Amino acid sequence: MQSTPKTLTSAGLRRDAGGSSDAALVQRVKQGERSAFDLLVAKYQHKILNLVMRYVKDPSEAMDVAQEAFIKAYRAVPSFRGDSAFYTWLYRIAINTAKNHLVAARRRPLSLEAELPEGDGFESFATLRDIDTPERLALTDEIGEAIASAVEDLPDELRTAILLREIEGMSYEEIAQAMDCPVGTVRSRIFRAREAIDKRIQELM
Amino acid sequence: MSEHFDEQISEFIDDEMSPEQCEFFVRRLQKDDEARARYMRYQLIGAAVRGEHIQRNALELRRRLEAALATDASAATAKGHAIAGHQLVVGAGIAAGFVLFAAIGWGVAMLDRLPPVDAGEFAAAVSGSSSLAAKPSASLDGGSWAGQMLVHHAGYSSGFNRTLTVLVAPEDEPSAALAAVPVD
Repeated sequence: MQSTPKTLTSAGLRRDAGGSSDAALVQRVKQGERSAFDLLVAKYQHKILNLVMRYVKDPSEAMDVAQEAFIKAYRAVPSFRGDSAFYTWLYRIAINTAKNHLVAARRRPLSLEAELPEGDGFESFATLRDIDTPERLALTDEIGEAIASAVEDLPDELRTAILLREIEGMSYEEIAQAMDCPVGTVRSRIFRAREAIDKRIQELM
Repeated sequence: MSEHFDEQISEFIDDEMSPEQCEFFVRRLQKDDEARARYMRYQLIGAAVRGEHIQRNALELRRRLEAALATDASAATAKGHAIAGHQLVVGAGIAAGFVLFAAIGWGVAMLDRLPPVDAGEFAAAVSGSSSLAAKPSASLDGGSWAGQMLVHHAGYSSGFNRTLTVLVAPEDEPSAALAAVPVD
């Protein structure tokens, strides 16, 4: 197995800026296409949840906060001017939402759940919170393991290409220099790596 | 779906497209359910490879968001209709205001065209009687719009005439009525 070159680890968070891809999606959202926002959510949901969980430890509460942050972002997209990267903007919204949640939680005298009556109006709320079922936990663990295993099984050149891209955040051009191959080859290797991993997880999805 | 398009999904995720390519690609991606599903899986793979360890509930987040935003959109639509109705009423009010303002303006403009009025005629019109004993020495010309308006309304609008009669032209004091009218 070929290890990831250590000298390239500072290549950058630049890739997180999401430049043209995000700009194109944001533009579509501004035109009222919610499905474009769904693509942005798919891209950033893990990052945002991880971020929120640094503030809010309870997973279901973190989920509520992340959801609120995305909804705020969706409503505010028309005023997003693009002065900063979309993720930077979303990141700020998520942090503020999490902090506000903590402030509000401190003001709450008792746990809300303890006061909930068992009426009709609260059943759907309870259902929404009931997301960490054993089946789901097992499934997500299985997906995670399948991906890790698929990465291990990749040919060296594919694994290196995808790791440089995903972990180091390097551009195709930087990877081409690091691996001493044309940019087109890098593009193809990264795609083939994703394809190979995707085949392993498709049946689990 | 072609392999080339699949490769473009990968390229798009890595932000290796020009803005123009992105714009074109997103339009196509939005129409293609299978491509979108692949895009989602590639994003999931990326998160797992980056060690973001797939949050167990992240997979649920999109579904919940979709439901929440759909509700949000319905509410916004309903609110939009309510606002539109309110705006219609306000708009109609503003339009009516403009019409009233224009009518008043037109009335004032028309007054400027009235011929000079004799103060005696005015007093007679105000009092509703032709047997006024006193005839004032001053006359009102067309430039004195307030005086004209009083005369105009006194002469042609009976309701307003009565009001004016009470306010400024008691029958027993015709000269007092004239004293209230600007005279050049």
